[in-house]
Amino acid sequence: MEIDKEQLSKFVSYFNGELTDAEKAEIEQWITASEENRVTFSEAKKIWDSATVRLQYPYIDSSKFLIETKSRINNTQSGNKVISFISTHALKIAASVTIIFIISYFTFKSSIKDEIMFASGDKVATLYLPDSSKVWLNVNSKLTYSKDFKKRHVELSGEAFLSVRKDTTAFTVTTKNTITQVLGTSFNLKEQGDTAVTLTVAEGVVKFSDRNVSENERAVVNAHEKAVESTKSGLHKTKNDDPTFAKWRELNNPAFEDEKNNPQKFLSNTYSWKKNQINQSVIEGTLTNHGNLAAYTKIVLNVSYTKPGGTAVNSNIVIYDAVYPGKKLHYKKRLLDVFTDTKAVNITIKSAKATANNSF
Amino acid sequence: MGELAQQDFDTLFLKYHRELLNLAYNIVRDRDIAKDVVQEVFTSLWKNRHSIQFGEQIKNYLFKATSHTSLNALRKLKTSYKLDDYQEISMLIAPSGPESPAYGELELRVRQAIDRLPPQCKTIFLLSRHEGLKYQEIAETLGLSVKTVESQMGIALEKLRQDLKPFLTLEFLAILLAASLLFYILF
Repeated sequence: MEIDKEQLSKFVSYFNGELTDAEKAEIEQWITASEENRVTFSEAKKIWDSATVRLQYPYIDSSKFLIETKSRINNTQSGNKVISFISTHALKIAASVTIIFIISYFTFKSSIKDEIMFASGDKVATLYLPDSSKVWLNVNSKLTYSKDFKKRHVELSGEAFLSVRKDTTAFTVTTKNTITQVLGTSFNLKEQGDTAVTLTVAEGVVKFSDRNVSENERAVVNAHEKAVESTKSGLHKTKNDDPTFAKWRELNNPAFEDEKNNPQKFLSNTYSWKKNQINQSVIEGTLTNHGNLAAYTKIVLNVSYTKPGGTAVNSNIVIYDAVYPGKKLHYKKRLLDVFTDTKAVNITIKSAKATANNSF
Repeated sequence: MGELAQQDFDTLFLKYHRELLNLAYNIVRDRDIAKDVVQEVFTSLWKNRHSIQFGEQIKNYLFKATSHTSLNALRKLKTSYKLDDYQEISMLIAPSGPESPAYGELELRVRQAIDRLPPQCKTIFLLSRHEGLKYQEIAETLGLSVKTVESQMGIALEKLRQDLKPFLTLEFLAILLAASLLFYILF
């Protein structure tokens, strides 16, 4: 049976206590008139009483919302009025002003470079350039490059070790007196006062020249060689017999201290384990050095293997080879567990010695 | 924007935006649209600032405008809500704070059913139930005749009653009770 909608709508006024006594009595009479009416009423009441769920708008940043609203107001205002009363003449003037503005903007823009400058202060700094090349900047040194890095070019004052990412375009480092050009190598460049610059090459080939003198004063410097450019005696290339030329990177360098003191943080270890034919456990694994500077040797691995009874046996294995920064090291070790039925093997890195003798 | 008027605008905005957001959100059930509605209300407030009586009526104006704009937004919404998933509502209510009341099954079902009502029905029902407006006031707010409001309210209640029939009967309560008892015994 279709229920009288008007009757239902009156219930609401009834629930809210908005009816006169006479109207109330009329409703109550309707309710008692039949069982069906009574059910209808009680259902409506139940719905009304249960319709209490109010959603809460999630958190909103009021001041941000206000700013958004205001900018919307400004947009709608400029959108529908301003244009209508501007004459075409005024538009022409506006256009020429805009063009002049754009031209001067670009002229001005090209005259100021968007530059990024790093200065190291009293701590050695490690930084990455936009092309993923890595630079260690010695204390009291400064490195400058353009923000867009379209030409791979940096300007150095002081001392830096650069590990340049290989690419087809040349990477150039200029100091006050020299130009150094490479494709992808690592090398150390050091200014000694205003008069001399020393280039020491760790890997690859580097072109080195005086900035102020003609093209032919240019040296090609290979790994294990160094070149000194001085204002007095020009450019000289010699063999490099000082293996510690880049050791400065480990002094005054909080990042290196961290690598040295926390080998567990920078070393990761993946391994597999199986029993061989004489029932000996063979562990094969790979250590990865995620650090930048420290090479690790004497890496002590704690091996704990579980016997069938559930008791765990701990032993150490030591790896004497070095893992260099960013490199991996494979190892293979056997356990003395021929007579046990080893159930599980768990390996953790216990300690490692950071060595200064690192590779580039 | 003039200095003084600008300040008044900010004050009004900061004072009422939350309340209005809640109102709009309950009607349109969409965060972004609710935000949009409130922005539209304040935009037209600014545009009509010369013809609006500021003072006691301003809250009333904002309230009316928000209800109205929300209803229009709800009408434009073509997507129907997927409110079969009961979880959604419970989740929407959950984070409102420790002082928020715990809602029962029936309350949540009713809320779902309200969201399924046609736009005008829903708006009228919410204005009546949540905002406590009388028919006369709802009619003024939405620019309808009192007769229309009354009949829409009747339709709303009837639709809710049909929709919620299975949850209103004694059998349902018995099943619920049995289920919880079973749960209690088993775990």
